[in-house]
Amino acid sequence: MLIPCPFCGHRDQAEFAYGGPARALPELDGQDGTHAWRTALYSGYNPRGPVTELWFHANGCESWIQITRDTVTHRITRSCLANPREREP
Amino acid sequence: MTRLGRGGLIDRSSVLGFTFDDRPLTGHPGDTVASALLANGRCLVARSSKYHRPRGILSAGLEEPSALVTVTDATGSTPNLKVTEVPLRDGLKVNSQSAWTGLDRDAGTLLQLVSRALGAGFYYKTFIWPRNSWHRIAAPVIRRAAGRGRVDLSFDPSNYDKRRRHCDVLIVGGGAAGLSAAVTAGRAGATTILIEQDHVLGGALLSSRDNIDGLPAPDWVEEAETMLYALSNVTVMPRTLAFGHYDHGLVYAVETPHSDSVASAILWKIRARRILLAAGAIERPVVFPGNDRPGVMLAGAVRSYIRRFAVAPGKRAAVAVADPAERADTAAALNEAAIPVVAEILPGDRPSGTRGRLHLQGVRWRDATGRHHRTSCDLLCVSAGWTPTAHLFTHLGGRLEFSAETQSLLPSAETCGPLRPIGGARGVLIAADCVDDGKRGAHLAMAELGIHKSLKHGRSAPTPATKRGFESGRGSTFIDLQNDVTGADVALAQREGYRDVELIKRYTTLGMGTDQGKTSWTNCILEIASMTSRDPTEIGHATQRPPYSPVSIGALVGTETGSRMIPIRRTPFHRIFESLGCVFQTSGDWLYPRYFPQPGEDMAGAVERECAAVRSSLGCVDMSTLGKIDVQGRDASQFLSRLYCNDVETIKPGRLRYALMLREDGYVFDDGIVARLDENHYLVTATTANTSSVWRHMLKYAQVVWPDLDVALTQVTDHWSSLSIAGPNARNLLQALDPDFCCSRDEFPLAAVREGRLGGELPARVFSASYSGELSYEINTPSGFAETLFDRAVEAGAQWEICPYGLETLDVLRVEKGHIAPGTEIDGRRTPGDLGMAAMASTEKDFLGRTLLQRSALQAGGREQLVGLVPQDRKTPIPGGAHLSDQPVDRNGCAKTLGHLTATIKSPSLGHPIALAFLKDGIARSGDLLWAHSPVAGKSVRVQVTRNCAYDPKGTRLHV
Amino acid sequence: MFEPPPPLPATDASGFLPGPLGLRLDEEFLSLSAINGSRSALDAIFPVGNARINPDGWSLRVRPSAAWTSGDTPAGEFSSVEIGHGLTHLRLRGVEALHFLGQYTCVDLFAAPLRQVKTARTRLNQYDCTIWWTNTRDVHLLIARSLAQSFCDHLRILAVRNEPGDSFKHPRPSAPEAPNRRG
Repeated sequence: MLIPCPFCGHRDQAEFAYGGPARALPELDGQDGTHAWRTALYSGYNPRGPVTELWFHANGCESWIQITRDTVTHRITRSCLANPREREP
Repeated sequence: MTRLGRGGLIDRSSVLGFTFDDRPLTGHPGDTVASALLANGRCLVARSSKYHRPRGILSAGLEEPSALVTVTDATGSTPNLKVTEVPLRDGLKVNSQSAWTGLDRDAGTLLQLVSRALGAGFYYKTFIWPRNSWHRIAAPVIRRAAGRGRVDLSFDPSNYDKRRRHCDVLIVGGGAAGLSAAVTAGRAGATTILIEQDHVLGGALLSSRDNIDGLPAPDWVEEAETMLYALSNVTVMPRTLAFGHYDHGLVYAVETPHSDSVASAILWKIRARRILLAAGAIERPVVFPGNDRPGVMLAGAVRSYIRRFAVAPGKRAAVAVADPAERADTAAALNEAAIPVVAEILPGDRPSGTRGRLHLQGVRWRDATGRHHRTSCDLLCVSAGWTPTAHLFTHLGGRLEFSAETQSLLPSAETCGPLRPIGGARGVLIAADCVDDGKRGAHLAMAELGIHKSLKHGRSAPTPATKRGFESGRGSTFIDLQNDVTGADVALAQREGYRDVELIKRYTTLGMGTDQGKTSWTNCILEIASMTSRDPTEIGHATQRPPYSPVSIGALVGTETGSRMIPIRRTPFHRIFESLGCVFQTSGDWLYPRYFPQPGEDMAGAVERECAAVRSSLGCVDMSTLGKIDVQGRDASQFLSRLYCNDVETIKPGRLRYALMLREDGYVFDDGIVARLDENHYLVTATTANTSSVWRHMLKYAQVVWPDLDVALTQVTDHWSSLSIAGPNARNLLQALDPDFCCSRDEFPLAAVREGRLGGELPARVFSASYSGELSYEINTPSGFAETLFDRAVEAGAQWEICPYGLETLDVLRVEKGHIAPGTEIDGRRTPGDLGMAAMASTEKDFLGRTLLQRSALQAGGREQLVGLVPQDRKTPIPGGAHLSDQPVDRNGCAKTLGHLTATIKSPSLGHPIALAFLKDGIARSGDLLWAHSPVAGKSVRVQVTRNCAYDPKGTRLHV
Repeated sequence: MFEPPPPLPATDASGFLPGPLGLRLDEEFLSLSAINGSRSALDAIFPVGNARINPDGWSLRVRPSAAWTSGDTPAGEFSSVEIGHGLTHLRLRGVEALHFLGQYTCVDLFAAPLRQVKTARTRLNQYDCTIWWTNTRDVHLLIARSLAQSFCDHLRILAVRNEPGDSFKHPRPSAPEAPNRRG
């Protein structure tokens, strides 16, 4: 695949490490969030179609990026830096 | 000799010698092994794999199903090469394969007598019946009879390589469509790569007598080639086979350069924005009884041998070609070679058999009116039609559809991702139409890429096939010549219920092997259709996967062989350790010092001496491989406090703490040191093996999960070298290195960090932390100064007999102390409590993994816990990998396991063997006597459970 | 306070690679620091994707929130960490230098954006490396120190597999306004 890195441009998949589907993790607020953590870690979904996922540009800018990729066609429709503070102003 | 006196693209002025089955033969530059064999009058070149029938050369290209040989050159031998794909070189040794006693008299032909028993699926049937026959009879016989050439197991000295290339437009195939597309794209200014499997451009045009743009076809090719070489943005890659099409415009191709080139095969990964597939089409043989006899040849191949290679493939020819224009062209070619055409078999006729033992001697057929004919001939030119070569179109899921109009499988869409089939690959067979289609394809690609505006351009239609084909008489009709699959086999598969094409393929082996059914698939579909009266369009086709044609494994591997499989990392002390005669060991991707033998000393002796030095006086060890991450920022404390389970924020500047990092699910991920250099500045370490995953994990939390924390991370693993000095004299040595900070016991206690300079100029960070259990300092200095530091340490440490030690001793010392290591104790299934470190998990704050660590299963009693073991007799070594049990093994060698060993050593400091183990309820079992069973070593040892720290459990030696 | 001794090289690279290409590989120490800061602050000083040569040294923008520089830490809210001993700086010189490397990098070094900024961090076969160049005959490489010796050995292995470049080896843009890929 050719993955569009928002910082480096289109790069070969070999430069990236896969980070799994993007998912919101519970806050570290000292509450008993067992259920929330379990859901976040183990109740993943595996759709046929577009999925939002994380990739780490290991041999590039070392940014975690978030892309939307179709699991059937590998079409990538969206790509942005996972860190909102690092996105282009 | 059947070489023609004139014509052809061969260089008669030079002669190449080669051998076939040890008989010396000659050919010319420009020949393939196939054309050279034919020029020497050799047509019988192989025996078929199953029935050992004599087989000749059917084709002139990669589709060749029969003529497989073993080719030997200076670099070794390669089996299963098609004679049609190997350019002739001087000194080649060509050998036939899969004949038992020789090509002319092959004992294997007896198998034909029992061919009824060897029909489709016989192989699978031998698995089942007769009972046990598979191992005793069937497997040995089949292994001997079947199979093809032998793999050369000797070392391959060839230079393989893998490279990449990028372009706007990649054109696969250098025939009429490919050349015109390349010229069009090149002139428009696109960076263009044209790859051609053959060593010359032109494809079918090389043996065509058509006129294109008013020029004879071969002249048109030459003109196009000249044009391409003049364009700096065009790269032409002959001898290169595109064999796979992958996501987002990636094509894999393998180049086999000239024999005098420094590289023997190069794997190219070509990334293109648009791919034009101009791979042409493959001719389809006619299916009739005896159609596999040597001398039956595809009509296109006959034209190619006559016109391109100047070889007469026979003396008397019969022609069975469906398309009238092609029939006339074939007759014209035969005429050029002065081969008389003795018969024309027309569509609607029914060829009923051939005769001849090792070579075709005659053919018989019945015409449409029912009259019988026979003629003697030694060459039968056959063609039932053409099959587009659209494999690359299908690799990414593009479907092929059977077209009644063309009687072939055509790409069902105009595009598959960035790939567009043009010319023969989409069924356009007339040269002028192909040229047009190539132009149109290139223009379309240019418009899509925004290189020029979109132009209106009519589209050439696929060339229709003649409505009427050949009928087949009764008898053994070979559909797949490579696997000896007959019409009867396909019928049997149908009868036994294997009706889906994928099942037919697997049951009959049709379309398997090195040619993957290039000449047989369409015939198979038509055969099924006529057997079952189904419409061929609904039968479908078997999935085609890369590689299109076999690729040398050496090219796929490239340079990554042996010690070059993974890049090896060296520490900054590597050179100086080499000079000390150190024995190295790979540990992960690092080359790490294992031990430092003195003359005549073995490993056990060296380890004992090194351990004794550390315990009694002074040793030093390279710790540079530990991961080091610099953490800065206003929220650095907060960030680390969330990542580690320990209380991090209570570490005072100048101090450090041993800390555990958990995964989200509560299991231990890694351990290391968190050193606070300043209020908002930390240095943390990660274990060698986990460095990159810890780095990635930290970046993920900094960037993705907690972006609002102000923290900056920098990997400094390679910047700092680290030499750990350990032993009762460690402080004396540190003092002798002349630091500019005070290092008395009170000023620089255990678990502290100091920054400064040694000897006034050598920058250093010193951590007082111990892995060995002795007083110890990890001295970090920038890697470029590592050797300087080591020299000074050895010089200043000489008075305490400083002893460099390696990984073996490091491991012994840590097992004596019961310290954990990644991989053995940190194995992804342990909680801090399992490792005896429950107290390290803070109760004052939340941290990653805390919530799920509270799950009842992770807190329940009865979990495996880390313990130490000693043999009851204080003597017997405890075998590695043993399982623990409270019973001896029973008669069957079984016992219920209570846990397993993770490390076992003979402790020099204690004078007896010890081990670490995970044991169910281990802490509570302290003092119990158990068995350590090792079925691998065949030993059982009585062991006593102890605490995991066997040496100096109170830690008094750390504070001397 | 005295000056520290000169840092020792990480590799044995000094001189010509084997093979017919006539490439020269040398190690030169580069004292680099990582400058960390916010994206907007860094954008102003170290533009994205650029290798710059200032009178006082090199600077490379490597991450949205980090740059590497051999010069001084700029004024502003930046933190700085020394990393120069961890990155071995190699120079590959020769007519085919960049074309040679470009055959092995994941990224197309001759694609339009890189042709302008002349710097990239990418993967070269199995190695992570940062590449920048002023012209295609003089290429700078940064590679993790622990891998540097293996990397040099690897380049030697690759160099003997290459023929001297002929003019049809590399596609070059032909449009009149396009810069020549030969550099």
